[in-house]
This record gives sequence, C-alpha cells and structure tokens, in this order.
Amino acid sequence: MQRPRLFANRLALFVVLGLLAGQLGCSGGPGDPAATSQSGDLAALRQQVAAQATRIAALETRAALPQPTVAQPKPATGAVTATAKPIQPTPTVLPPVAGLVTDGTTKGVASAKVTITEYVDYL
Amino acid sequence: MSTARLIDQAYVKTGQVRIVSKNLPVHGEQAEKAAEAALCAADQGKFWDYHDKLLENLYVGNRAASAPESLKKLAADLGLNAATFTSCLDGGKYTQRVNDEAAEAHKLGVTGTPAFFINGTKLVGAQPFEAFKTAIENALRGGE
Repeated sequence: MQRPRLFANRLALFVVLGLLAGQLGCSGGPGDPAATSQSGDLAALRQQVAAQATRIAALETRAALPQPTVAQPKPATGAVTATAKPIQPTPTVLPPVAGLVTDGTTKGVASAKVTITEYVDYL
Repeated sequence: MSTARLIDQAYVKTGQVRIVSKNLPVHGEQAEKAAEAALCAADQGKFWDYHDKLLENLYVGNRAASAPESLKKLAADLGLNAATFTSCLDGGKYTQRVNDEAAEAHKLGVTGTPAFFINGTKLVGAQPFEAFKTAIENALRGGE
C-alpha cells in the first residue's frame, strides 16, 4: 500500500516544483507590487515543497523497514479440523464406606427395616 | 458408584438398609463370566470389593475391566487365591446361579440394568441418590 502513495507524493512534488518554476519565470522585477506578492507566494510554496520532501523522505524510510505481519494460524498438515466438544465431567468415585457388615452377596445387618435387591450387569 | 456409597453411608452403616446383590447379565457371555467371577470372589469373602471394582471401572468407561483376561487379574489385585478363583471361574461353579437369578429378574419384569427393588418397589436405571433417598424414606415410614 505504500508504493502508490509514494508515487502520488512524488507527483505532487513535481507539480509543486513545476508551479514554482512557472512562478519564478513569470515574476516581475523589484518594486513591482505584483512581484512583491508573488515573492510571498514563492516563500509559501517553498515551505510546501520542503514539507512534501520531508514527508516523502519519511515515507520512504518507513517503506524500507520490514513490514509487520499478522500471523495467520495454519492448520497442521494432516490435521483434522476439530469441532468444539462439550466438556464431559469426570466421573467421581467416592471411597468405600468402612465397617459395613457383609455376608456373601449381602451388605448390611439382617435386622434392617429396608431391603434393596439390586440386579446388576458388569458390562 | 457414588450413589451406592452415599446409600452405604446414610442407610447401610446405620443399620436401616440391607442390600442384596443379584445378577442380570444382559450383555452376553462376557457379562455372565463377570457375574460368575464376582460370585467366585464371594467364596473368598471379597464379593463387595470385586463387585465395586467392576462397577467402578464400568462407571469410568473401562469396560475392558470385565473382559475375561481382566477378571483373574482383578482377583489377584484384590489378593484372592488365584488357584481357587481360577478353579471356580473356569469350572463354572456359579453358572447355574447366575442363570437362575437372571430368570428370576425376568419374572419380575426386569429387562435392563441396573434395577432395584426397595422393599418391593421397583426403581430402574442409575438413579441419583435423591431418588433412592425418597424410596428408602418411604419404605422406612412403612410404605412398600
């Protein structure tokens, strides 16, 4: 993006210089009121030329510097685009309760008021 | 498994509830062998340890723990006598008992596991502790 801008600046500089040359060629001699006015214009134009030259030099310096780049994330070779997965909570296993009465496949005292019979499958 | 532990803590340890474990293998021969293995562990006084380990593994998604080659390893890990356990399991000591319990479950209308009867009231599926608490409290108050 810097190159077209530099070209435009250079073009502007040449135009200003051309106008300046024209002004100089058409200026009258000393004492001429018109010449006095043109002298003031000339000073202003010279300031503009100097400002443009400074600006061009600054732009050329910037253009010469390494341009910052924005890193674009690239998928690794062969990587499959991952889809967002819901996070599964890790199952929590509480520690066994110590001191329980057991007898074979029965747990708890025989006098318990409630009996839970479970049917399980281990797969 | 956490639900079972909460029940143990709140009701079994306090003498209010007794749990009887039975088998309903619904996943074929491998499940039947796992059920028999747990009963073989009972011969050596380690049924609940074995039962809990199998269910813990199932709970965390490790179904391989119930594979035939893993059943004997689990017995060894729990300190069971290997020769006795192997003889029990390979000899099919509890094959008939497992089949009988499965038939009993079918008669009661149970088709899936886990299933529970709390003083006769059926509760199906891996229910949260609150569901058991409600049913147990109801049974303790004299309901079924």
